Amino acid sequence: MNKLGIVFRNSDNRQWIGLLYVSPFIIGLLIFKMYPFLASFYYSFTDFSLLRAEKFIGLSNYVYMFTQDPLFFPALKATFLYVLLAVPGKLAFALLIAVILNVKMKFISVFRTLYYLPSILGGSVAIAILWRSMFTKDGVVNHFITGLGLPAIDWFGIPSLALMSISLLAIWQFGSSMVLFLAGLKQIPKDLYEAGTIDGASKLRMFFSITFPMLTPIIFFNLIMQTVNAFQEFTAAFLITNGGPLNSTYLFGLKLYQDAFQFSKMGYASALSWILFLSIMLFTIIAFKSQKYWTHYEDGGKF
Amino acid sequence: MTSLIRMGRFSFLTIFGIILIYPIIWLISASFKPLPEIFSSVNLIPSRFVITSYINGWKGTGQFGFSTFFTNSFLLVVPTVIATVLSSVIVAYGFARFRFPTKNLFFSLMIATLMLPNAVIIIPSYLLFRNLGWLDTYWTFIIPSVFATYPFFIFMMIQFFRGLPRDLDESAVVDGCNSFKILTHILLPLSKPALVSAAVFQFIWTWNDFFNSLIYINSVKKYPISLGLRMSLDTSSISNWDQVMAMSVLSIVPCLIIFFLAQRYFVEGIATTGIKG
Amino acid sequence: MLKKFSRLTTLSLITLLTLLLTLSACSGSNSNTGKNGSEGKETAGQKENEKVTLRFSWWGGESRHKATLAAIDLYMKQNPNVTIEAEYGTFDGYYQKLQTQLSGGTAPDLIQLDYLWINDLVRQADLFVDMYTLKDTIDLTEFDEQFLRDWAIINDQLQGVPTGMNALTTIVNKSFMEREGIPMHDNWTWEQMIAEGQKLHQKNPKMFLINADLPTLSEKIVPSYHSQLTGKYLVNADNTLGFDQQSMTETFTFLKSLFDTGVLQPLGESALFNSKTEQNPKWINGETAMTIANVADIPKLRGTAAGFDITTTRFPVKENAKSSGINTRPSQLIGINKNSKHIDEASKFLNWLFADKDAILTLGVERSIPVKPSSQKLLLENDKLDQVVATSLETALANQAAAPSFINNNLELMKISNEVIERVAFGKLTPEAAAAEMIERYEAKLKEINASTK
Repeated sequence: MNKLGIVFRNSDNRQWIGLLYVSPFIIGLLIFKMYPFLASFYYSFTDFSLLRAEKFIGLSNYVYMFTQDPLFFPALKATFLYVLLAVPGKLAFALLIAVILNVKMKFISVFRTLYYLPSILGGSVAIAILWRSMFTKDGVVNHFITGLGLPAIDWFGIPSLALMSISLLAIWQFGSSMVLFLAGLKQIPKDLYEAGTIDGASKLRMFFSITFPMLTPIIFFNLIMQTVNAFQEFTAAFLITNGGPLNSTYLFGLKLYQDAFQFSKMGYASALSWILFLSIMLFTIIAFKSQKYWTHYEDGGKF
Repeated sequence: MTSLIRMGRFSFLTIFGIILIYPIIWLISASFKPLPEIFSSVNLIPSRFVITSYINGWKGTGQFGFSTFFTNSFLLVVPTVIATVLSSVIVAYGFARFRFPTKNLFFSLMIATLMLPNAVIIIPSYLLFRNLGWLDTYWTFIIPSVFATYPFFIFMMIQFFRGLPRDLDESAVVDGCNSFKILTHILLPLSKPALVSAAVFQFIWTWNDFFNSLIYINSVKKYPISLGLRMSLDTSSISNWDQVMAMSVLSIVPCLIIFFLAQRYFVEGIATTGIKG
Repeated sequence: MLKKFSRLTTLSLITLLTLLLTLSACSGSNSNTGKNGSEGKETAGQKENEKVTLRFSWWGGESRHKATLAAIDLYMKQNPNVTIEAEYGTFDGYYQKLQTQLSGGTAPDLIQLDYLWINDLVRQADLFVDMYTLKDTIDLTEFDEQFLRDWAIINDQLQGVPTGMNALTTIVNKSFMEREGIPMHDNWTWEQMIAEGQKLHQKNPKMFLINADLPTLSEKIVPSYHSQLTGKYLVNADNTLGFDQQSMTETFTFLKSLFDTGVLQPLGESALFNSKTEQNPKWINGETAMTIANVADIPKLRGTAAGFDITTTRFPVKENAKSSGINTRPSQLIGINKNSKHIDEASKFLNWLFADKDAILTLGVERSIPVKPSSQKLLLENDKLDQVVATSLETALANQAAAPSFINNNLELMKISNEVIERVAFGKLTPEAAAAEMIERYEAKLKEINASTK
């Protein structure tokens, strides 16, 4: 009792130690992140073009973006759609497969590796070629579809379908989310399930009362991270479709890249990126605020 | 009944798995096909089984072959991974278990740094690294990892730590542990799956990173695999796609091995008994 | 308690130490000043055997890398005081990296450049050494003045030396033509193409006469057709529009007819192989008769041709054309960084690459056919000139017309073309509406460009 008393009296001191632990990040932030961040914010108000000194032009970039750039809203739309297609799909598969794989069975390691394999490939050039050839009119995917008796789909002839094909690439690479769910599942104490079985709960009941709540921190994490990354997706659009057809896959990340490095409009690209930043920030704030309604933290929820 | 479920599970996993990795099977088979056949046929089995693509691909173009590129990738990736995991764990511990002034500020800043796309950050970063003299070295990857500049891993560890009850910490305090001991003796052993995930992810992502490597590395002799793989692709000459396929397959192998070895940390669950109640 | 504080002090000491180390690294290294900082040329007074390191960057495929490295080795052997560091890789990302390097003052001494970039780069800043100032070192006598003027001279400065020649051509699957009984004209007109293409596609809907993807349409076919129609390209030399509602409508109507009659594969299918026609199964499996391409593309299209012979013929010109719309362009340029510390040595090396017999033979046709007639002759004598490529280039040269002005290559303008053409091809835009949109967007963009040119 006495020792505990000491702990609580010195709890303020103890909390300051947290700052010490966080200090490497603070140093890294100040040195490696602050300058690029502030620089890009500054550039967004200039006509910076990498090759010559910039001129301050105030809000011109932002005005241009909203009123004159014919590709701004299409890119935003394509990106929002991509996020809506890719993220839920990814998370759903990741959770489903993780739960199925969370058992002791033969070859479990092989299966886990198998399901993680697509994610190892990253932005592989070889996979880009492959994905293209799979979605041609007489490619593998259509063979599969016609095999089921449905008509072949013109994946790159109909713009909205092109977006689906690169969303499928993202969903296909659900491995990392799956691994995190597996790690989260492993963290759930077995005695909870034992207690549940003793109380006579069914497997399904236990999933919703034990597994899901205990997993919510990881679900939340995956949701945030996958969404933030999906908003900035660039490689798939760059390697596979280059924005086409008809700008249906002209993701915001690709637009940024082209404006910055192909059209030499780094100032404008910086402005675009800050608008993207604000959009993602908005989503993230809402998500964080929503935490108290559905996520459960073992540490009592106090952060 | 249970054996039926087990069989059902097994067959589902097998069938779905094969469908899932079909593209990769295609990739592997393409690496054994002669070049003209890669694009002309969709068959999985090569008409002629060749390994020239591996032999020629390994030799690489110009002055350096894939033995150099593989070595470079390891030199780049391994220190980065170690530094990332260590620093992320320490920082995450600070965020997850302590409440100090300015905590929300720094946490928000940390999350915020995830949201600005690389394309606009890269120029100022490039200038910074140029001034530090780190261009054309691997320090541009390693040193930032030492300072926990990968919010993904920090945030990830925070979530995992928060999934562990504080009672564990507090009973350790009662036993006379200081904060660091709590981290190393209580929290970390319970977070092995998370730690291993972080290491595996950082390994694979850094291994595959193309654009950052492209911008920061000049000398061909320092190219990692991600650059080496794309080195000989040109829009106006014959590209040796068979070699690219072969080397792509090879470059997956270390990642596969790492992942496979990491499996055993996912096998054991945790049983924290006797704390509650 | 004491143990806690000693831990604390240890941790804080480590942190402090790391901080100090980082800060010392910051201050201890050199800092290059800004992008336009001139680094003092070393002209006269540089000693003969002073060790010099040059950096040379290029993109390419394996064979180009091999050949260029061999040439570099040869030069280094002959000039032991010079070390040349080769920085080579793929085309993807090259432009991004180059701009980053130019921005940070870390660009190489010798830079391979795409002729499409030169104007966009140079209208913002003086980046490359005017080759005319190096006339004593670099022998430019055999380079055709007009060719240089069309593609490499901006602001009266010669920005780089062209490495080779490229031109529009039509690559033909000989076996296909014989098999399907399509007459082999020497000089195809677009009218003939449409007639034959329609016949062919009606006979067999899986076959198309021509392989042309979106980039081919917007970079090659549309501009040259317009030039054939009116004698003018899309943008004039004074940055005014070279087209109007009527001429553009006619051009787009022609474009639409190519798809309506089945001459071209629908964009939805060919889109997957943009700029990679050699990977399109239709070409590989011999289901298209011809590909519209550059002369320099012949090797790669021949490379994936599954068992058929190819030949070339002239790029199609419409009947009663005002101009052929065909011009030769450089395959690439090599420029010297204005901020290079070793301009003299760099120019010596550059000259050697184009003048020395061994260099010419080693580089061969890796950067397409050399510009200088004497180099071409040399390659021919040593059997290093691909006959098909040479003939194709000759045909183009014999039919060439004036080149478009530099502004036509502006990447933003080309993106506008791309989009409008794509929508016409997909049937989302009528030729009239497309022409109107083209005018509106081009004019707006040209205004921006004019405003941002130094």
